[in-house]
Amino acid sequence: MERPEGDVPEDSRLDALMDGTPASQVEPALLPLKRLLEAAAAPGSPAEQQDGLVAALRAHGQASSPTVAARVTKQRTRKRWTIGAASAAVLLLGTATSAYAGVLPAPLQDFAHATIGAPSAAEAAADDSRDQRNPNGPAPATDSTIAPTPGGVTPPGAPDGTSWPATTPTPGANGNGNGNGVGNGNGVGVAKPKPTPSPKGNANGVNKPKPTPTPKGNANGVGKPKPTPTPKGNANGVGNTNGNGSRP
Amino acid sequence: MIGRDFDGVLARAAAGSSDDFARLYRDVHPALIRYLNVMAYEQADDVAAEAWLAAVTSLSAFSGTETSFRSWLFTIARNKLIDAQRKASRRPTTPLTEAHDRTGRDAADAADQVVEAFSTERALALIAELPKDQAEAVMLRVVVGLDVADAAEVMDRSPGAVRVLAHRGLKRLAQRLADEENHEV
Repeated sequence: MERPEGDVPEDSRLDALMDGTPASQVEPALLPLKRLLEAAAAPGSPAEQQDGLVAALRAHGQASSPTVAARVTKQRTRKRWTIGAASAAVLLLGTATSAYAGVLPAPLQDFAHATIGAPSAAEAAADDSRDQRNPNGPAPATDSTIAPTPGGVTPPGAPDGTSWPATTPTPGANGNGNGNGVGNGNGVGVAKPKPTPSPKGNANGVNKPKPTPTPKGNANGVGKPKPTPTPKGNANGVGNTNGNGSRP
Repeated sequence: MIGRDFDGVLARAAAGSSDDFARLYRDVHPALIRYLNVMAYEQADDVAAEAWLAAVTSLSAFSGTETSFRSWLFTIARNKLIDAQRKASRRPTTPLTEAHDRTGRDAADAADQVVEAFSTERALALIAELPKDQAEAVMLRVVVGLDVADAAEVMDRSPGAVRVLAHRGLKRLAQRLADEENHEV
């Protein structure tokens, strides 16, 4: 840390020196400095004033000619267009990236879904809720293909009270399933997406839940996400088999 | 400084008047070349020419007071200087001699002669011995005639920082002069 030099009065005297205080008002100790500054700021000599003047005048004449002025204007216009186009490209690219990442506001996300095939807002929200493992956070379902059901209401045609999804599962997704119903299998498994809603069981009670974009339900009807369609490898319909599927 | 006529001179120069542009040039160029000599002696002439070239092509777009014109021109010059120094650093050259300082004058010789009458060159040689940022602050404040705010804008620093730099530079100069005086006595 450098030590501050001098006190405030001395600084104000230095300011006055730079602002052109007459030598008669400068204290003797600062007179040599005053003379030095006056010499440095002396009016320019004729040689200094003429130095480079011819070249500058030539440049000025060229810049002032109508053709050059028009060319400069044209260059500026072209530069502005280039900058504008580049900015628009960056903006579009960023928006598209955001759309595919599913982080846009719902209306924009749905617009992107409709125009460039990005995930819909509902799908993005389902991904988010799954990532955050927030069982009480129902995802907004705005996509008409998903057909969400109000929480706790069993959709028609759903056997044994499970909530049935209306969409195909997301391939490659991972999830945890907790069986709270009649079944006895609790476990963690890797989701193996299967588009068919028919349950397939196995004997070891390992849950292989299928995370789906929106429908969420659990056995006790509190809005816990329900990874359906039926998890593959669930012996007894484990994983909310008896729940009243709560759908957002 | 041109003073009251500045607005008219600038407008006519921007419209193509060579006489008015020459008047602007003669008014500002001495300070510009002194500033550049202190900052980078070897590149001063080239940078000054580039700065003026850039200024004349944008002259019609400028509007403002005489002080802001100086501030604008010196900002251009400073940016050109930074570009030139960046280019020079990519292709380093061997200095001609180490006996000469940035102003091309022998620094010890300049310091020996500062007691009574300063020439402009000697004064600039002493300022050039300061640390570069202090020298720049002193030059912009004293030689170019900018106030703290304008100098800060040119240097891309805060006004407080520029004020401190100028003070430190002046104190160092005063100390140097006092030492020389004592040495002679």
